[in-house]
Amino acid sequence: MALRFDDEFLKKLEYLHVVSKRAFAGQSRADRLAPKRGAGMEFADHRGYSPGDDFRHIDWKAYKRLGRLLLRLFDEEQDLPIYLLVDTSKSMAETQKLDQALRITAALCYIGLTHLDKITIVPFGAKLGDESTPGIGKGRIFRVFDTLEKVQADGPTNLRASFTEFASRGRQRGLVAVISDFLDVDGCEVGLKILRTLGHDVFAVHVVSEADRDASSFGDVRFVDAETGERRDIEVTPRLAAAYHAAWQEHTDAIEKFCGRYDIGYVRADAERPFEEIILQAFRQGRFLA
Amino acid sequence: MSFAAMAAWQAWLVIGVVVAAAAGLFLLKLKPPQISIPSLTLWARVLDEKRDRTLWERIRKAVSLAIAILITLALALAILRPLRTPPSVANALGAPRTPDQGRRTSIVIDSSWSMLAETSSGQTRWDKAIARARSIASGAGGEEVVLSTTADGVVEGPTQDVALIEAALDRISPSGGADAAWPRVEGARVTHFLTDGAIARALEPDVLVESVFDAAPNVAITAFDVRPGVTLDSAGQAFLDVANYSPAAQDVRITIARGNASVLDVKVTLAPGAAVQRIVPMTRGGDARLRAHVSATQNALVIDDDAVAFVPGAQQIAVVIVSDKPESFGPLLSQDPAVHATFISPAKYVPGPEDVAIFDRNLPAAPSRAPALFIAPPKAPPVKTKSGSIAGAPGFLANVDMASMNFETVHSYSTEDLVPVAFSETHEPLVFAHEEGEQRFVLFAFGVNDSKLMFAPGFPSLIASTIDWLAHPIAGGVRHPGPASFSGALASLTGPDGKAVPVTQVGSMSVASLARPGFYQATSGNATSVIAVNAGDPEISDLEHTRLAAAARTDAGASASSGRPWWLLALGGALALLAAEWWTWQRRVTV
Repeated sequence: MALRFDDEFLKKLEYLHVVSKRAFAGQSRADRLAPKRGAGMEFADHRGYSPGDDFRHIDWKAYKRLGRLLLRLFDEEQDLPIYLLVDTSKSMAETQKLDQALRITAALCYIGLTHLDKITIVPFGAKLGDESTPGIGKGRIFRVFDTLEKVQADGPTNLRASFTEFASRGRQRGLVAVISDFLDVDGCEVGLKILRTLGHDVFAVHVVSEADRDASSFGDVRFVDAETGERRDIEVTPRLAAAYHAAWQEHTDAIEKFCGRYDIGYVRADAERPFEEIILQAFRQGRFLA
Repeated sequence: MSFAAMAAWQAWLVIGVVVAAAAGLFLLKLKPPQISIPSLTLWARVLDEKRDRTLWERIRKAVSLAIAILITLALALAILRPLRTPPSVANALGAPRTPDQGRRTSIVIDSSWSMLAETSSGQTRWDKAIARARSIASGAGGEEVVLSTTADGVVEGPTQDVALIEAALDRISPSGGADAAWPRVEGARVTHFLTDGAIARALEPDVLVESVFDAAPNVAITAFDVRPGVTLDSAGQAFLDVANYSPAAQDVRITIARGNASVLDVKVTLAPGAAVQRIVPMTRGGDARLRAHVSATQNALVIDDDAVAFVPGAQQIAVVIVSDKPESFGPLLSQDPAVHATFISPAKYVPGPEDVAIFDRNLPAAPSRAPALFIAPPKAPPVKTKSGSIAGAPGFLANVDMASMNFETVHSYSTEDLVPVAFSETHEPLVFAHEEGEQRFVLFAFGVNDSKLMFAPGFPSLIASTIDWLAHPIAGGVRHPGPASFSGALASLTGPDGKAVPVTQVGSMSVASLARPGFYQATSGNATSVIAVNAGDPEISDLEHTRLAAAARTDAGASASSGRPWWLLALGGALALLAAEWWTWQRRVTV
């Protein structure tokens, strides 16, 4: 798959930035206010002088007016760690779904790179894949494209194991976007909880397709689970198909409710929906981009 | 029940096998198409839930199985073409075969003229019967087949060679024969009688009557003949009956031609079921052959549109009286308008073109070629064969009261060669008659003047009857086509097409088949008679009705009401079921 965006779309992306509900401390200077005071450009507060403080930050005008040595404090602007966890399990192997997931990842990467955020792309399936950190600056987007184009869907989905592994490595807290179809036999709740517990600002990007929503065939069929290879002979009747659709709707609603309860952002990205429409409308409506 | 395509046991076997095959194939677990889906998790959740299935969902497979079997059964029946069989026939078919019971299938085809009626499908009833006979023969399953018609009796078989039966079916055609004997076949297991029921027949209960009846409108000449004239200048009256056997009124054109001259040409409108009669007087002289014809729009049968009749009194009988006392006969014969008498003395007589010669008390030196009446000859004329002598009372004595004549003098003749046919009260032989191929004569053992018979009331009648019998070997009138028997020996019989018709001599009777309507010319002892043969008959021509009882007949591959073979309905039903099943499957209505 060739992941390339046209210039007009890229310009539109440059006006967007990833919204984090909280401020996280970064490592490098960047566009985002960090929770600590430091060598920023924007005045934040005063405090009393202590020996050893930098004389250059003493507010001499305040000293003249108040007769006390006060030190000027500035907000420090740092980068935002953004972790893009991309589901590369077999259930995503359906071309449209994986394409949509990778395009979304690429677009979020470009937005983050434009704002000098620290992007980490983490593919996962039954476990974490090879992480990729493209660097800082929008010029690195081509490296992102190259990385994502090599992604192959394989293996089952295990959100719990993958996110536990993600949590086991020391990481800065930041924004975690999980781009997945959330079709995990054990459910997605535990995995998302793990991410939330680590203090990350979590967004769930639910990629769904027609094949997920509805029965693709009627009559006597043998369904084969793309991830596990399990087979099941089913006579798909209209009633059964309706029951399946209802079950899928219930499953989707349950994920959305869970995300709402645990302050996890939720955006649904239909694979059949135009990609630009998802980025420019759905993500903004979901308060993921601004 | 029997089957058109094959023997019953084979058909039942085929039905059993195809139904079992259909059920087996339906129940066979075919490998379903594999479809890869992202996850079975949600499907498992749905399937593991206990769901209430509707009644339709529960019986859907059983209904589909039943429909599959029905489709297969309908297709099988459409091919095998079963026939309803009366209980008696069913018993005959189902009864265990006795050792002396042969494996024979008898096919009898009704050869009445009504079978030539054209049906709504364009076929004639005969065509349908032939097609049905072919299917019976081909489905006989190794049994011997005997093919018969009601007119000709057995025409082929018994044989297992279907090709012979096929060839015979190509050969035969309707030829009337309503009066012919029912063809009996020894050892026949079942007798299929293919008929339209136009003629009522008393059938045995084990005959399987298969109807080819299909109602058709028709206009026909139902009667055409000539009544003899009673005056000197009248040869008689031709009378004609025309009937309209159709459900609608029709304009009918009626024509009668005498030789080449038209004597009637009218148009009449006939109401449904109505008949019209026309009487046309015939004068003496002129052509004796009459031809009538009717034409109408709705007319399914052609053969009854034409009819013929012969005017017997149109031409006088040329009689030569060889006598030295012609005054004895002069007044008598001159009173008979049907006779043209010529008197000649015995010395001057030479055989001529006369129709009848009368030798009064003499014998010609050379035998007469014409039929002769010998009145008290000096001795009996010589006969070629003794078998020509008639043993019973010939036709000319039927209406003569011999007791009204007083025979004073009776000559005696040797009875070695001749057999007397009439006796006096004292048992003396009075009349001898002889008839063989070219010799035909009557001998009176009494003289006209010897017994003063000229004044006897019965004598003119005796002379007239004798001359008529001698001149006309068989009685005229109109006959229907089919086997016919004639009293006496016929030398030859010529059909309407000019070809000789085979004549079989059975005792004192001659038997021949008058297969086609038209004029036949019969010759015996140098005398000639013309026979008019007409097919038209109310029984034959009324094509709107059948005498087959509805309950007693089976349909020979065609519906009696619509003319549409019912196996087409079976085929249509199967296709409809198939379409319904396919549609519901495609539309996911029932799955």
